[in-house]
Amino acid sequence: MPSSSRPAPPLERARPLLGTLVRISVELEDDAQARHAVEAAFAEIARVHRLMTFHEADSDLGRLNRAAPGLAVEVDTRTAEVLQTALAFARQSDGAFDPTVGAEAVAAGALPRPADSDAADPVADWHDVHIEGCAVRLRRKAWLDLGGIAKGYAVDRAIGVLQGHGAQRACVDAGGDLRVLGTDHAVRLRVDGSPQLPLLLIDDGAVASSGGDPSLQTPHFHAARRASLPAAHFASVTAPSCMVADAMTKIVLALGLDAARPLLQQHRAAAYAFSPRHGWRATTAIA
Amino acid sequence: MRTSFYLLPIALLASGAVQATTYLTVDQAQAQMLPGATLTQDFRQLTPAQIAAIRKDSGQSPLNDQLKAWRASDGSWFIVDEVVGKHEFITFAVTIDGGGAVRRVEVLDYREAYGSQVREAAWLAQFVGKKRGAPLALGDDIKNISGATLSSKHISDGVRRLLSTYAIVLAPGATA
Repeated sequence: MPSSSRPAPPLERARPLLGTLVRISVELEDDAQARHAVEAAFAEIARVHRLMTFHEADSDLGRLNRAAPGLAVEVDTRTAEVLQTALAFARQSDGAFDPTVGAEAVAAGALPRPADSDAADPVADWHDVHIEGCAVRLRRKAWLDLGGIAKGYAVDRAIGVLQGHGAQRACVDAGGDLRVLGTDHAVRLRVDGSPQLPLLLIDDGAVASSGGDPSLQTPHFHAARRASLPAAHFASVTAPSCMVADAMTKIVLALGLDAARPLLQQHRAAAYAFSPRHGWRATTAIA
Repeated sequence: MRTSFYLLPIALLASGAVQATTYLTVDQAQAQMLPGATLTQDFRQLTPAQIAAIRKDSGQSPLNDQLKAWRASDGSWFIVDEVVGKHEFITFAVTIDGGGAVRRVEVLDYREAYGSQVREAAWLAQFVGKKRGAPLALGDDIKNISGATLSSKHISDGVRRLLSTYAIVLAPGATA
């Protein structure tokens, strides 16, 4: 018997972007419309990537990292928005999250030294970043890295594009930092050593994860300023936006679940942390 | 936003499974990456000298001595190739324009070999559905995974290797 109510299968595509594999799936009635929506969403992610990559001298971030101290650099509204959010998280976490970690990442070999740039001032931190509209000024020479937050922002922008194309059910996944539209999206958390299978069901929200597999992760610089952590420590954060989830995973790893609790609540976020010694802990009920 | 967190007993999972996703077939990728162009299959058998030259130029060894290439009517090339990561196998397609620049990269097929995969979909749907009081439409696998970031380095390396391959084997005036 023919069925007219069966939803169209989701259109799924994957491309290498943001230093990872970005996967987009969307359910729309019309296949051409779905392809158009996915294409536009990938294009927006590519734009965010180009604006905020550490690796290119002519990205917004590349120009900031090469600017003389005190010089106002005009950036895209998207870059300004991410920097404003990064500074808010730095303030709220008392520096556990800090967008000026670029110098530490370069020192550790995780990021290439910006060519044609003077060395970063070792005492520079997030207090030295000033934003007025789209004009950004570094009071001291610093190397900004938005790696802990821009990926989440790119996911949020892509979801916005898909919504603009009429999507009500979709998923944008940037290497495990993902956001969904629609109800009952199942997300498995990948962590070595867990005796159980951790599974999240998410309605219209985001999840990001940090830590877990030491062989795949880069050193944790935000955390390095606060406390040393066991290598296998893993945290996932769910939040209404992927940018908040992305930033909060770093803060949870740096401060611990209990100290991060007020900030999580403030952002309507929840955290799920695993360590071999303590097993799973969460700020919400575990079913 | 609403979220629920479950810790499920792991014994109920099939082990040694492979999770596979096909995003695009070769035909679909050709139609979408080079719309309107006519493609002519032009597979090449790489000689040992060419393989050595590609390795020297890109730092990467080809995984296959047959180059799966199609020549497009607009002078560009469509190439299908594979990269192998720690756990993952990725088939991807690259379009290279007549000037030797990458125009677009698409993942065609992604396979991940992992110890514990969620294969017991029916059981899982029942369990989760009961907990949430709503029926769930889970697919064959739980494709959404949040964890250690998967690097795109393997694909970047693969694209770099294909640019060398293009210059050495396909480009006008290629010597080898």
